[in-house]
Order: sequence, then structure tokens, then C-alpha cells
Amino acid sequence: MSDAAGSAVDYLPELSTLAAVRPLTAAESLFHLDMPHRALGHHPGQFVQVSLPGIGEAPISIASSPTRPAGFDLCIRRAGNVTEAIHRLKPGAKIGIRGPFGRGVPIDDCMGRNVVIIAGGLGLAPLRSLIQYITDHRSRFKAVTILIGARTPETLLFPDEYGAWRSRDIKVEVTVDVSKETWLGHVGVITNLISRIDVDPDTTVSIVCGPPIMYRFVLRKLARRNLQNDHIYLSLERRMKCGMGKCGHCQINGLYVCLEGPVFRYDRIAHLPEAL
Amino acid sequence: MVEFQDLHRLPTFEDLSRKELEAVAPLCEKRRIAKGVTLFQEDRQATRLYVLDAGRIVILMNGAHGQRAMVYTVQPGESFSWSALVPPRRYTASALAIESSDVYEIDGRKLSRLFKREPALGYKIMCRVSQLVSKRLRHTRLQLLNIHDWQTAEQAQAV
Repeated sequence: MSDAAGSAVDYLPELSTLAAVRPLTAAESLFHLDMPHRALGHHPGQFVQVSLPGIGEAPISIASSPTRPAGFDLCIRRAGNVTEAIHRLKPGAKIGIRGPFGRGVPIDDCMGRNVVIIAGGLGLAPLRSLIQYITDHRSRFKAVTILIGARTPETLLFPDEYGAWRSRDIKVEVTVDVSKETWLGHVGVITNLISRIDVDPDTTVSIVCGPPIMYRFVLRKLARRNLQNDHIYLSLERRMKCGMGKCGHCQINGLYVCLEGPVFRYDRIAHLPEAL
Repeated sequence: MVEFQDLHRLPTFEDLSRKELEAVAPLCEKRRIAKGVTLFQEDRQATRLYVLDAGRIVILMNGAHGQRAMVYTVQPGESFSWSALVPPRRYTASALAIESSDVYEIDGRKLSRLFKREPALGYKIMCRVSQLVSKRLRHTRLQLLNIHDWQTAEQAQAV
């Protein structure tokens, strides 16, 4: 157990109201929630514990920026009991929220630098929070590039938002594993896109989120572009349970992902093979 | 007319000496491929090796019911259609220009004959071709691993 002291409030879900649901793909929808008495007060990259009484609780990354007014977004994949039940909810339904938890993206380390955001599959959901933050404070960042990989065009998240991101002087490159002939973007794995972009190792930070297996190949490619480990941030997916470093579900050796992460600077976890 | 300097900046030929580049250059032609043109078709006889100079070419594979699936975007500087250098010289996929593109086109049989006359040159180019085949194999493995959407056993017991 960690030494972190969670207050009693951290254990108690607050009831939020489901304001809107936007289907994104066959498996994922975007849920907009309103907290009745307070703003969520999160940082990009943090997560909340979402619960339904009698069904269970699930850790979900926050998919909207704290700079956006009124409520917050959760992008939820239909994958188990809790998430299936959330997908059946209609606007007006009540959902339990604990959090926000964890450490998100260190925004201060990104400001004044070139930022390369690399997202695989559902990894774009937590990074959308950062992307919205950047679009809302665009002048604080230098060149911004977003690389997005998905299985097929149909499984891409937020494709209707890429135009707005590009209009804020952000380069957005998209690749899919396989596609029909109607697709005009790239076809292939996301590492191919890394070869195509400009990377100044001294002034660039990269934030990566995706399946663990993607990290291995993305990190290798970033190293080939001479990006140092202390310029790379990874968002680790672990099954967070309590969110307060008590239960040990997300523990990697002495590291509590729910407390010290889920976003880690790579040089701080590179020595932990279990982390990736 | 393709000059040896044009070839030297392409990764496929960057190991060659000036003399070797001058031997390869007469076998090359530079072509502008209009958007929407299919350069070659899967299963047809493979006659030409291509190197993409500019634009965008995608590799496609035939699926069921006449559908074709896009499986790879060729990057500028990258060669494709390596089947033209290797028996049985049949294209293993099709290639389509989805943008107006500039390619170098090299006659595969003439290039193979040059390899027999100048084995050192052939070895250098075939090393590059082997790297290309290796890259495609690695790429296919990553696609099989579904690296963009791969789930851990932990995630499979999802909440």
C-alpha cells in the first residue's frame, strides 16, 4: 500500500448527470456529463472512476479539456458489464463519479516546445483532452503534430474534429491498418508516420498513448529520430481500481499507476520492463 | 533521360558507385502517373521495379467478390514491386496512384542481366531489396498484431 492518504470523499462517488451521448464508432460513444455542484477540476491525461450502482465501477480517461466550459466528456468503449450498462443509458441518467485521479500530462513541460502527439486506437480519447487544451491556448506551444493510427477508417475516433484541429495550425496525419479504396489517408502502421515528420530533438516533446505493444515500436522509432527518453511521455493503461494507491491493482513493482501516472516520463519507467 | 545523380539520392541506389549508377541509369525511365492510374495488378507478370520520387502510391490486395483492400502507403524514396527482380516474377499486390505521382521505372529483366554481368552491383541492390522485403514483413506482422488496437489479457477481462 502506498503512503498516499485518500480522504473519505475520494471513496464516495458523486452523482453526475448524463447530458448527451454521441456515438463515435460501433464500439465507442462519447458521453458528456455534468457535475451538479462543482467543476471536475482535472488536468489533461487524468482519469475518473465511473460507477453504476449494483453493476460496478470502471476507470475511464477524461476526453475533454478543463478549458471547455460546463461538464466533461468520457469516451467509453463497450467492453464489459459496466461499460455495456453505460452504453444503455439515456440522457438524464445519473452516473457515479470519483476523481479526477492520477497525474496527467505535464503541460508546463510542453509549453514553448514542439509537441508530437501519437495516438493509437482508443489512445486518442485521453489525448483529446490535451489536444483541446492546446487548441484553446495555441500560442503557448510551438509546432504541434498529431499522429493517429487506427485499425480501419470506421474505427477512427473524432474524425469530424480533425479539420478544426488543423485550422489551429496543427498538423494531423492519420493512418489505418487496412482500408477500402475510398480512403485518401495513409495505410500502414503508425511508425511509418514518424518517419515523415520533422523532429528537432532539442525542442520537441512527444506524448504517446495507445496499446502497450505500440509503445515498443513507437519508442524505437522516436529513438531513431534522436528524441531523448526525458522528452517522451507515455500514458500507461493499467486496471486502476481504487484510484488512490491503496488496492495495488495497478501496481508495477513499487509504482502506483493510479497515483504517479497514468502519464509517465519515459526515462522514469524505462528500467521497468513490466511497465510496457 | 535519367541521370546518375537522380538515382544517387534514392535510398535503393545510394550504396552504388558513380560507375555503377551510370550502368543502371540507362535502364531507368521517369514517369508521371496520373491520380487514379493502376501501375500494376496483383498476379500479373512482374516486369518493372519502381521507386517513388514524389506523390502517393498505395499497395492493394484483392479480396473476395472483386473488392480490393489498401494495405500500405509507399513513402517517397521507397521502392516497390520488388517481385520484378525475383522469380516467379509475379506481382504479389497491385499499386494505385491516389495522387499524381512521379516514379522511376526500371526494367526488371534488364536489371537482372546487369546483375549477372556486375555481381557486386547486383549484391548491393539486392541487399536493399531484401531490406524492403524485410520491412514489408515486419509491417505485416505489426498489422497482424493489431498494434493500434491491441488488448492485453487484463483488458480482455474488461469492466
